[in-house]
Amino acid sequence: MAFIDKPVPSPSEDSKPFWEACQRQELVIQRCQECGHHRFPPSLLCPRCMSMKAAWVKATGRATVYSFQITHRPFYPAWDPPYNVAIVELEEGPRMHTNIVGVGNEEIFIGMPVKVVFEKIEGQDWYLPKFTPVSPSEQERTSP
Amino acid sequence: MGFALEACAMAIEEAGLTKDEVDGLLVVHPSQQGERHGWAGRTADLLGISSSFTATVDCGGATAIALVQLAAMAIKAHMCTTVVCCYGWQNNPADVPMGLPPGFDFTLPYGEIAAAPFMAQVARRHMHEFGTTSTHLGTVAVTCREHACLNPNAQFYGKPITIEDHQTSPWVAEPLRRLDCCDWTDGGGAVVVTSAERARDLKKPPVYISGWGQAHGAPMLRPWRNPEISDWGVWSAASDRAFEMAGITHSDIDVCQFYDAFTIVFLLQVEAGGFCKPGESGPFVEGGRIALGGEMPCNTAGGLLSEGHTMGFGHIIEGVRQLRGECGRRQVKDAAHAFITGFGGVVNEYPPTFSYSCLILRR
Repeated sequence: MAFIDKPVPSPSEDSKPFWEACQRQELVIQRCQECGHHRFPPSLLCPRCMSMKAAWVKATGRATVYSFQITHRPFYPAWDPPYNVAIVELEEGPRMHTNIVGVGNEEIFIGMPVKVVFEKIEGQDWYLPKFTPVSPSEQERTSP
Repeated sequence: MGFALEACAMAIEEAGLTKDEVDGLLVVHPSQQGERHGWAGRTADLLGISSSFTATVDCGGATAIALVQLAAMAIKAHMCTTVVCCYGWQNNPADVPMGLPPGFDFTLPYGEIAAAPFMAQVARRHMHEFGTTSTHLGTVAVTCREHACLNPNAQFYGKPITIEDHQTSPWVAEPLRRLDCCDWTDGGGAVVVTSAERARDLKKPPVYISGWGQAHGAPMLRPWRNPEISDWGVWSAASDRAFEMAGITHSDIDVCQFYDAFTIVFLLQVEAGGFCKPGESGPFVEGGRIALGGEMPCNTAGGLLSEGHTMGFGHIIEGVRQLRGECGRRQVKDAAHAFITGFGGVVNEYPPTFSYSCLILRR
């Protein structure tokens, strides 16, 4: 067992709405009100058009695995190896780090369709957005 | 700090200068150490150098080359005449746990921390897109180690490895193994930059800066566009400018020093340098091409992987020594042009960002 508390986010002024939504189990990202660009991480202005007008919008939560690694030697002893950390690409475009849950590490692959689920950080009062594979029937329903 | 001071003293002495002739000082920002501010000015004070130009610079592993570029610019702009560029680094003792810096909100809660796991994400994507294999990575590790075994100053001198050793070394962050990662190194490095006129009558034969470039951005997670990892256009454009500036082509380069904190970084550097097409660096390193005696000898002192993590200073120093013909058993015959790169990743804070710098040196 890992023998040290798991680290929790420390929201900044920019990221506070993101983390507050997570605690309601909602995944939100910023959408530029000038050019429509979806952005992540949270930031004061749009990196495409520099507008400071942005709205927090609910993401569909659908994503695909862009890359992943299996950590065997953690640099901080809060997790039990081996465990996965993935980068997923949201349907809206931005990419983010996450863990893929509900599936063995050996079953994860690049391009895997996943959807957001919220999991509590063990021993902490914090929900983190994580991703889990979409079942084949769900895939049929959502694909055009 | 001691390592930096010692390296500066050695470099000034080797150049045949006195400290009173040095009027500029550039330092790599010691990002994980306690003293965060005014590092360059303090280093100058502790060396007893009265400077008209100092800066503490941070673009990760790309900084060493960036310092040399800045030094040359400052000299050209008449800010100063002779600049010492340096770094010093001492790791925490093994029994002191690493502190957790703030601002890692989007990586740390998921268990990703430090560079190796992020570079494993990059390696996985490179493998997926281009068919790069762990054996390709291993070839880089083994070649660097062979070269380190010809360098008595290397951390891994006298400790050869085989591709089997690489393939059986434990995972750190799969698909990267222990032998894909460089070790920690306590050390320092320094380089003296001055005008060509001033260099002419110094103790050592001058080595000239003939081309350079820099590029910054975040492939993998670029927040304003999402290029695939194969889109190394931003990096290779910087290299193209360096070659244009030097008035030479890739086939004129006799020896390369590619930044190699991880084997995958070496491969990315070969592509960024324009020595092969994006995605083709795996096959490029096969067949002894990058070894001494091969078509393009690389990392002839052992690189970060096997000489030691000198934050890129080792690469610049080895490039200079090759062009001066000082490398003994690992000397590339008649080396006239060297291509050197630096690569910095700030990968725990979002968005993970990379910096690339390159330098062409000539005799």
